[in-house]
Amino acid sequence: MDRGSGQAGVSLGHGHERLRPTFEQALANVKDNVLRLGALVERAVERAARALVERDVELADQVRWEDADVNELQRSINQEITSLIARQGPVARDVRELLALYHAAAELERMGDYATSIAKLAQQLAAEPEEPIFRQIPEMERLCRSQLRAAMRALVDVSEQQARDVCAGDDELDALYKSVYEASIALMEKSPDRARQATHMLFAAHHLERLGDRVTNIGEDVVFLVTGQIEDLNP
Amino acid sequence: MSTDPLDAAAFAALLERTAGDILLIIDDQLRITRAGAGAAVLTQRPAGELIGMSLIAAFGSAPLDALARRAASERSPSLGEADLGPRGGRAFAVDAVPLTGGELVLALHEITALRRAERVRRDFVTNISHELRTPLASVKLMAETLSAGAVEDAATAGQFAVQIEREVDHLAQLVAELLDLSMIESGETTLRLEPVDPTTVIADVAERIGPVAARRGIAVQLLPEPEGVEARVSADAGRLGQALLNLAHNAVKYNRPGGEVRLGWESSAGGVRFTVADDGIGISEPHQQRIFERFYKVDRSRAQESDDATGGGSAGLGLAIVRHIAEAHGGSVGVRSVEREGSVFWVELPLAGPA
Repeated sequence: MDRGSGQAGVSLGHGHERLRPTFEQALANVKDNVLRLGALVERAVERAARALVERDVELADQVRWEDADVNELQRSINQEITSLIARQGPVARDVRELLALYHAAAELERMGDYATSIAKLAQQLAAEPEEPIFRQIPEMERLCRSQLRAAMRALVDVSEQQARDVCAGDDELDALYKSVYEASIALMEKSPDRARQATHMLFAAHHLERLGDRVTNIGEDVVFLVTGQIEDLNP
Repeated sequence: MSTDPLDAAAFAALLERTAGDILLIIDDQLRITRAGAGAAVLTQRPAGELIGMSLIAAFGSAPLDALARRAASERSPSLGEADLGPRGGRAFAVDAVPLTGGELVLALHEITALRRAERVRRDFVTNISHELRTPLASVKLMAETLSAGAVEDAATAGQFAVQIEREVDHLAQLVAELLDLSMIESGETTLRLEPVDPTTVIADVAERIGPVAARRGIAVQLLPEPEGVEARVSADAGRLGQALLNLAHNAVKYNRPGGEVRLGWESSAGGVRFTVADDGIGISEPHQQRIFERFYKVDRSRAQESDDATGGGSAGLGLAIVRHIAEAHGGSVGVRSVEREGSVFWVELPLAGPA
């Protein structure tokens, strides 16, 4: 497996033998924290969408509260990375890995915000007369989460190929979003009294579509980590 | 594992034989040092790859990670649950127990089936309370209005009496359906199987649904029986009739004004397929998969309108009863439907063996 243990590491002079494992360990910790962030966000997305479908106001409330954990973890990742760069002056692959993780954490934090927005929409929708949720929305949620899982796995395995595969799945999400757009317009035309519900659902789908784009960005981070090239995988 | 009280081989054997449960040993950095059978399938990684990997990297589960961290930092056992596996589709009860050397044992016990059963039970209780409470509330409201003076007004009193009767009928039907369903489900009803002529069964159903359909202006048509086929199904004629009548009731209830209900049967791979077709509103794909579940209603408001028109309707148990009856016969049920065009429900039963 291509794990890239960082041959061109930091220049540590005399303390090399003693300090090197510490840097490795710190880097592994940062990476684990990014994976934790990914797992928290995945859970938030799943719960937010479930709250939407099941009109579960309390679950939506939990999702909104728990976004604080996501923000807190991202802040601590940022701190760890900044301090590692300042103290250890990593170069080459190590600095690439830290930068990629820094960026991935920022993307994940934004994804947490989208989950929170979906949870808010769930609460607004629950206050309206019941209207079945467009079937594409749970589909988008499942797709988003499986892409996020794949992106996290690509990060664990430092696999360029897996990262590229993640990005390729984004088209399906875009197509589903277009179809929700059409369905929303159709619902508004047919039942103008359902315009609020249609709009809320359209926004939820929009957030999911944006979530997918952010997952793609994490895929790009992994590609950057492996190749050192910045590529736009979702043109 | 210097402080491990068991020798490596014995421990490996233990990891392999914990019936169905998955055991993991992780170090104080939450990295996997040993993984029992099943961990590879759950993480979709070769077992060897898991060794040295962090728990969060291997499983990607926030609750599992949090549980292990809590047990590690508090040095005390911790219990919890986590959804694991691809797409988190499998539920596990997790036990984390710290060892003296700073390591943790994690035992993952699968509870996916239990969860599903809990959900079914919870849905059932929610649905049944809703179905019981709604008619009870209207009866209470009307009784209150009557005793508050409306009883003096003959017209209103008469109207309320009719409505109360209708609500009570609805409740009685719900209770009857529930009893029916629970008896069929528990296997307490014994089917009196005999060779039954499908044409006779269909004709009987048509006769019984006729008056209900006529009241709503729906035509009932018998499809011609397949030519040259002398089929007999192995069935309890009463139960089969009940199942098909339930389908016919729905076909009337969800039909368009001036629509038609078509009853028939045909030979099929599984024996005989009875069909009940309507020109109704149809059922969208996602609903088709769930419509045979207890209390599943495609659209509550629409069903309510139709209930009023037919003078009382089912509580969402009808199709569940049909499915159970078919399955008790060793048969099956299904539906084909196109939205805004209509639906065809079918019950397939095995042929009677040679007499």
